Amino acid sequence: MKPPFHHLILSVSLAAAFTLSPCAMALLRAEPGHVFPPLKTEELARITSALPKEPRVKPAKPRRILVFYRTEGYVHASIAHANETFKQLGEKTGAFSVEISEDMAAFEPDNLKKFDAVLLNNTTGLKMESPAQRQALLDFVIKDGKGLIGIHAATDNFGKWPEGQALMGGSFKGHPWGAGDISAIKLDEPEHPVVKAFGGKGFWLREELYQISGPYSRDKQRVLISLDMSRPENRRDPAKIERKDNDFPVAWVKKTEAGRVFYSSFGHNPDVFMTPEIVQHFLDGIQFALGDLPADSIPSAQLVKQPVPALAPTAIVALQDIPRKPNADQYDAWLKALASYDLGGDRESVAALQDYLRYADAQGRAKGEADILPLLGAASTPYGARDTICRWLGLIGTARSVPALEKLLTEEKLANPAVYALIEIPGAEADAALMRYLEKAPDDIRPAVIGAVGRRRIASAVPALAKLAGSTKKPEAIAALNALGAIGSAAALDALIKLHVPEDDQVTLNWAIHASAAQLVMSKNKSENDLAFNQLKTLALNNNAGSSLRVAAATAIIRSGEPQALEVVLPLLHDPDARVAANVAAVAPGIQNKDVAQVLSTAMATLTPQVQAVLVRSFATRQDATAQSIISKGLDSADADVRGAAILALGNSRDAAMVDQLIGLLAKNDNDGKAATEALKRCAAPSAGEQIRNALGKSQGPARAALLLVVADRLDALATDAAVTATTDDDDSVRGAASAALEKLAREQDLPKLIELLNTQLKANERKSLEKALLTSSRAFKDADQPAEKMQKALTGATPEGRRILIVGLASLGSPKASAALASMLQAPEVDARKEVIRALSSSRAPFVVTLLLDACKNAKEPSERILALRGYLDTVQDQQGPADTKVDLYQAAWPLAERQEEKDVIIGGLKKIGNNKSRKLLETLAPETPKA
Amino acid sequence: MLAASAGACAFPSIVNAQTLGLNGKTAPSNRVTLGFIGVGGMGGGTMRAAAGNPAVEILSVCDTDGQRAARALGVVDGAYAKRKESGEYKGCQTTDDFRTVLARKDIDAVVISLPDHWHAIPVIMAARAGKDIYAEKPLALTIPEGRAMVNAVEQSGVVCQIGSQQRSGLTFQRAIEAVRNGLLGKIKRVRVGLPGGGPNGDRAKITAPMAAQTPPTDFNYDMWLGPAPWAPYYVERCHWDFRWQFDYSGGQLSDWIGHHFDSATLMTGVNGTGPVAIKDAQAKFLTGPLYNTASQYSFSVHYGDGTVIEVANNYKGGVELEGTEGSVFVTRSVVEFSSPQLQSASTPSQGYRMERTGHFNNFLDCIKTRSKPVCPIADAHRTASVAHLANAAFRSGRSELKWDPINEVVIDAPDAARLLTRAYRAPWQLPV
Repeated sequence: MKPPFHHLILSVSLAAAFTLSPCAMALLRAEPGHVFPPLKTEELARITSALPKEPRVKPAKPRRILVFYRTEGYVHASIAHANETFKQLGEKTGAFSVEISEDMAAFEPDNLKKFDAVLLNNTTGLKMESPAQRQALLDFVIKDGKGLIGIHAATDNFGKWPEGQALMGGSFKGHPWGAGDISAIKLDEPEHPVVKAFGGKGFWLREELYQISGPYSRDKQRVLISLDMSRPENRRDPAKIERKDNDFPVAWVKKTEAGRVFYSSFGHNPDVFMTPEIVQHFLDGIQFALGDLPADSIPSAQLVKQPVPALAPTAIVALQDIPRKPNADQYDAWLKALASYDLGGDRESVAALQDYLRYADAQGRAKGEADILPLLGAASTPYGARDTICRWLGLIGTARSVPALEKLLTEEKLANPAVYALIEIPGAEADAALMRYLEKAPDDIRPAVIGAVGRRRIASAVPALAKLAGSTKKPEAIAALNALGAIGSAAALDALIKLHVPEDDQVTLNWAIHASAAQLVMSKNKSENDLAFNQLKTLALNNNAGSSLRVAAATAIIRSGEPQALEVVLPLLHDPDARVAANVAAVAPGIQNKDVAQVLSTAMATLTPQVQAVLVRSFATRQDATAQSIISKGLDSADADVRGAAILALGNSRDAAMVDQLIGLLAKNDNDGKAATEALKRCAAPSAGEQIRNALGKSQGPARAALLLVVADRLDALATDAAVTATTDDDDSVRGAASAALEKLAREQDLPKLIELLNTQLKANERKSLEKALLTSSRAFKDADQPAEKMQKALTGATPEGRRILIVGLASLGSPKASAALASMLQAPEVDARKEVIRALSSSRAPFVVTLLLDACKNAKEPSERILALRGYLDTVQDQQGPADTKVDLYQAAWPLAERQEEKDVIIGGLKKIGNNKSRKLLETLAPETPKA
Repeated sequence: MLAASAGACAFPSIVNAQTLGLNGKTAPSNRVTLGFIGVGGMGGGTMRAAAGNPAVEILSVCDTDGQRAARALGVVDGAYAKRKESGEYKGCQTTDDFRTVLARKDIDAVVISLPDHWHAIPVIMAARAGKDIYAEKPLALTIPEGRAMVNAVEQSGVVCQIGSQQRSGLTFQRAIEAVRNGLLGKIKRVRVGLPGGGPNGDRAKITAPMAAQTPPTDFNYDMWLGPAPWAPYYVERCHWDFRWQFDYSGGQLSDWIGHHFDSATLMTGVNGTGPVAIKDAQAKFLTGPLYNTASQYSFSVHYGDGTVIEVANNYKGGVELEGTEGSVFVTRSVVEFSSPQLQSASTPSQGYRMERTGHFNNFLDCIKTRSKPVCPIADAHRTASVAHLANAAFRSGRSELKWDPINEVVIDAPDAARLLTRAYRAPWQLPV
């Protein structure tokens, strides 16, 4: 990506340059003579493979092109790729030969004569100050009938030579489309020979693309490719766009008096030169410029019939990303690279081959498999390559690979990778190979082979696995137990039951039995099912089996839907191990037995409070009769935690009776009451809203206060009248709750009542709430001028505190009427009146008041007024949300008004806190840092 | 059923339940006792926060990197200096083997913050050991691993919170509640922007071949590799930068799927299920010598109810959701609605509501009440599965991959299915 300051680089003085760090120096590649690193093998291979076999037309005579790549501005890394591409393109197609140079002397008239065309390859900032050279180039292209070709940055030259820019046909004005963006490209003229490479279709490209302006005009040239602005993906920030006509050309051709010009803005990203369509497009453009490819170049605007453009396709896939079949040379080069690849080594070519195998069809993959297998077998192939091949065979391998992989199972380092492949290769061959190596594999590898057999669930492996499970070598014994559990057949379970293992492997054996039994307990076969159930029951009730295993066994029984599940669960709920009891209670709602309600609710009283609470909570989600019977037992509990859980669980119910029960609990001034309030807030029963409102109408005292908070949190607009009425209740707590409720519930019609209330004697908490309610109510108006009018009227006759609140209200509205009213109040003749307004505006923190406060500060008649207004202004700016740049502007506006050092410090502090480019820039001018020694 | 509504209706913990210790005894100090498995980037941060939390006590720290374990021990010792002096605290154990932590009977819960290839085995073993679990996202390295983890947790009844902490963040909660309560109308479009690229700094620039290195003496590299394929040691492949290698992770995509995408599943209500297809999948992979995950990617995730979530590394980072009545853009720091009315709108308490509790505190509350945390393992599994499916599509060269979310199998793509599992290096086994 181009650094935005690249045009400034040349003005950096030498002295400054010496003080730059090496890193910054690297950016300063502004002068010619840049040394490009050699292209990587993979890049060269990709360039070669993207070349067309032959030119569209044979050249009329041998053609020579000056490929010129001098940079006096930004240096594109892709210059190296482009030079290589044009060299190879000429050599391979015979369409031309090249001389590559960055020496201005190449444009000396005598030298230029040697060429048939000049190609500006990403030249930047060329000045071409020599008049003779300028004239020579003009003559060359215009009079002598030669060609000019521009690639990408070729429009970024001749800043002080308009004729030069005009010759190219346009000049660069930024690149709103960045190098990483995938942009939609349209063909303005799908059938034109110079864009025939794209097959008459628009496309997407990952490329930096230019905005072209200056001498560019469709009246002067034939535009062949441009950005497809019908796609929203191509739209950019209008601030970055200079052109108003939405015309962003990419490639054009034009005729001069006797010569021809071809320009294409493709060529920033190196992979553009590895994309066949683009390289063909370049070749066609070059051949047009050379005069070999006949093509129409009447300026676009002069065409009698405008061609129908080919827009970008719906699917956004960059041209570079479209999978392509490699040619034979490239494929061979990849294989060769793979043959010598080791971990940590150059992976470009290996990755390219892998990418190809991803996209290849069945035939391509089969060939791939055949081609990499010999490398896998060869001892000379490095470990990294063989490991990589094993991984790929995991994706594309077939029975064909099995023998080669099998051979690796005895190799210490490669056995594991071979298992990675064998485990994925479908078919009996891989099964058989793994089975053969259950015993043959080296000790270190055997667990992996056993694991693979288990993962593939090879039923015939049970006897062999049972034998291995009895091994004295712990890793393979454990692996075999796991594998038997994974296979999970009746035979596997049978084998597991018969096993005797050392004590410390008993846990693994138990889990394997559980895994098998949990599968078999779902079986329709009665005897298998019985066997599994009994095994699970034994595990669940085995005090020594560990809490998780016992719970897991109980869970498997519950999931099986067996009617005997309760027989197992009930004792576990009473288990002395608190974990077992609580965790079984958590999974118990899965029980489907008909008598579960009766059995569990009877049992409730005999359980520990912790287990009761968990049972209540877990059953609450079932929302059925069983849940209700357990919950009602919980409500009767002597334990406050259990009752709390049960009350909250009632809130989950959709039953009207439960809602009434909760309302009844509200009067209790304890945790039960609190829990009931919370439950009512959350209750989603269809009748809940109405029941709560009815109760509110009849209630008084603490219950009324609680219900007001409930309707407020429920955002129940139908309860607003009740809240308004309650603002005059005799009970303090009810009045407080009513005001708090109005913060959320106030509507437009409540505004007069709220204003009236604000002028009465209020407690601090009520006033605060009603102030917020006033804002809620005024926000409900569609036209903000309406509440503004009402508030302005109310100002006359308001108490001082009432006035403050109304001013804050007006400030938060920010409507034209509110603004006018506030501005006029700031003109009041008495300084104290003005200060009152300033204070109120400051406390509102409304974004819109900054203008008013700044004016108040500017027009202040007394220092104290100025100080007050500026402080309010700066506080408001500091708290403001929104774009950082706007904030910087606001601080900047205050700077001339800041007379005292502390005011300046606040501005500087605020700007430092923003810490973006704009604020740093401003800080440099406002408070230049003294340079560090 | 349980999973679908867990986020919404987990009860507030105003009920003070007692800590359930082991064997029916309440832990002496009523503190939840913790073991930290992995104290690097994420684990170290969680541990430092926990060290200052009076509701917990750290008894063990585990890391394969001795330096990290020592640093963690220093933090714990510093935090508990007073308790140690009074004899109330007996000291913190350090180890490089997580099994040592799981074997301790006095530890209630473990915090597992290891590279992705080390998620499944420790979580399953912790569930078997009866430990409550706080584990980092993405849930697992593969879909079958994730399913096995969900089973292990759900069948043994342990509490398990996954570290998709945006579920406990205010901006996301506000956006999720607004959408779920219908404030934005019918959902028209959902876009999730995740980071792309690979490692930062110098490691981003590695292109030249590199020679293998020798692991430091206090780094148990074999244990670090664990079930993952053997590979020569490079410092650049371990710790934070594990995530750019398919052997250990799934790149930026699987790293971030558990954040913005996870939040999008809550907004659209598809968190309890998996997609029916991944479409329009495309990706470019890192090609340097050390890293190989996708650095640029885009795809769309299609659900059975018609929900579509678009994901790309070049969308605006966060979630953009457009509804018929308005839109919202949300990141960790901002939630921007399309109108001031929506911006200041409240949601009713009887509607979809999330608890305003810190992510770790939510875990601690759930330990006490035996409830499902805000990011239950089943949801985390569904979220992570999307990254694995997208990666399988990328890696098998498919733009579309169909999926059966009930049986969790790919449809008509046997080769992609082969990319959804991993074999373990001997002697490691995924417990059944």
